[in-house]
Amino acid sequence: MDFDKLLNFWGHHLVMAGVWIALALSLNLINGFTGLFSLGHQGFWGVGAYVTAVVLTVLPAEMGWADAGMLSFLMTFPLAMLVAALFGLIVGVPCLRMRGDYLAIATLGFGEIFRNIAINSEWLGTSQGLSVPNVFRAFLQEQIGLERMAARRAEMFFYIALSWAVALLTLLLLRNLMRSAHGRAITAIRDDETAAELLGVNLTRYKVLVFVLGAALAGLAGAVYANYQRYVSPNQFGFMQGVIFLVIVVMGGMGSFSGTILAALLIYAVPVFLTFAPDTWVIPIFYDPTQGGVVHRSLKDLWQVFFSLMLIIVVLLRPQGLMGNREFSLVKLWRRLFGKKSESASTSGEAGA
Amino acid sequence: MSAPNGSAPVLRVDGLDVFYGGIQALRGVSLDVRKGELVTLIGCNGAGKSTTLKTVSGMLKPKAGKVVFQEQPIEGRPSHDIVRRGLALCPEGRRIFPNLTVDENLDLGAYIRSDRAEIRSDRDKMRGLFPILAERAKQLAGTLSGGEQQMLAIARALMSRPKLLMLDEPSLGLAPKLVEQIFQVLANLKREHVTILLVEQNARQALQVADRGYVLETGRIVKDGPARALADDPDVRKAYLGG
Ligand SMILES: Nc1ncnc2c1ncn2[C@@H]1O[C@H](COP(=O)(O)OP(=O)(O)O)[C@@H](O)[C@H]1O
Ligand SMILES: [Mg+2]
Repeated sequence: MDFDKLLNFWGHHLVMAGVWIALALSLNLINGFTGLFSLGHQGFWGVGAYVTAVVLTVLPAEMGWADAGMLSFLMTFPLAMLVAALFGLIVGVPCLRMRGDYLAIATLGFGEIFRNIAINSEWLGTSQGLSVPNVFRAFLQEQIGLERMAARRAEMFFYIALSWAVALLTLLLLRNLMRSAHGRAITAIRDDETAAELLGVNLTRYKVLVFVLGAALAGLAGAVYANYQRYVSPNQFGFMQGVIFLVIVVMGGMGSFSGTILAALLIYAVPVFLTFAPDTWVIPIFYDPTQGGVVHRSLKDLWQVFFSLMLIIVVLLRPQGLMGNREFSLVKLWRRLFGKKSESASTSGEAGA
Repeated sequence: MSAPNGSAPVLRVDGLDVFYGGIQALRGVSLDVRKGELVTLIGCNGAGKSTTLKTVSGMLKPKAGKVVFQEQPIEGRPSHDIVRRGLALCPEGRRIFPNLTVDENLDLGAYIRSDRAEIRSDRDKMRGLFPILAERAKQLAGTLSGGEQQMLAIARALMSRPKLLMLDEPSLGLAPKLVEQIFQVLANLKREHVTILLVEQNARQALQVADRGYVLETGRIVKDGPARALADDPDVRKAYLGG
């Protein structure tokens, strides 16, 4: 296979995996580390993506501006974060002031309302969606002077780097937050919010902070996604997409960043690798005399089945998720593999990096 | 309630009425605690002891009545604000943070403070008071035994350097030996002039360690006075001290 085909195929999946990791990490901050229950992460992701499309497509057309340039492109990222954070504030503040799981209902509603507004708004392109101009490619070709092929390659490398940089940024931000005194307060809230409040922790303030930060980071991932895909439409941000992110968080371990990354990679990669299965790899699925007896299906089409199986296995064997609330640590792995026995017997649950 | 010395009490509770929905749990409860005192509030299960402490600490809003802490009205203020004024509650049932280490639990006790050096020295003090907390410093608090968790809960509450420490049944569910240890700790704290409001079902030991006491029955204060006098009171003896 030639290089460009390989790059297109694997590059695409690398970009998407980075986006998924970033989204799952910020959702884990909300649902795992803080113990809130958001069902609307796909909505904040979508807000970020639509902000990008509005800035690069809708506004220039409506206002009669020149085609969007690099400045607009760069502005999509902070703007996506800002608007998503604003929506986070509007949704979060009323429900987070009260005790109980109002957040689940409100976020679920938010995700669907957002989608329905997009579907019904001419301005937002209705169910057809909006296309986003390839500002970065134009920049490479026109400003830098790359020829078409080189620009295409450079663009792909750029988005791989960007999506993983956003994932890394999300990871570092959240890890530092959780290691700070604020992180202790957040863990305390998850463990026992009444006891935390009795020590002076302002519950509403922390919950809103966490929720808005999570929303902003989802919005950032949305800007990366929209710029990369160059297309946004309501059905990209449906409820089922949110459920997949939720499953990643639960599967990886509520309260483990490394678990989230592992689970995101797993859940993203399995269907990708399944597409390589030869058509002759079939397994019997059910018995139906009208279809001539045992019905077989190609492994390729069985992603949903694997997804469910994986979830069942994890929930049965490791209800705390793949990593529980522990973190993967090279240092500890090294000690466990090569260290002396006494060293490897570290205290359980100790978080390290 | 007569004040032997003229100074204003640290805590004055006046005529509290508290409801759970339509059910009245407190009826005109009044009490006060003066600086350096150990005051106990005793009563049977369901008398309203926890409700009283929860209302004082801001977890419940009274329908009527006043809570005055250091001459400031605090009823209806949020809990996190009340702690900052120097009023700590060590709640019923320990409620330590199981996923944090013992040290982290203690640090959270000092959440409202920012004097790092002092916090560290207070932590050392707690380790002196409760040696087990030094041994288990880096262990997750959820792995401690019930008695150890209770020690941690008390130490955590003390870490805020409260002007008044309220304890809700610290001896509940502990083996007799540990109960003894807890009351020993309370006696030590009293010697250090920590002001304490102690809620207990274990009336005998509470009255032994306390200066004064109040008896709560179905939401009403029915008796109060010096702890010694209450311990000798025939009604109290019959109802709470087994004859
Ligand atoms: N959350 C609640 N909802 C309704 N009733 C409650 C609640 N908590 C306590 N009560 C009632 O209020 C009364 C006082 O309870 P409480 O203050 O917990 O008593 P104590 O601490 O003295 O055992 C009891 O009759 C109890 O049933
Ligand atoms: Mg009680």
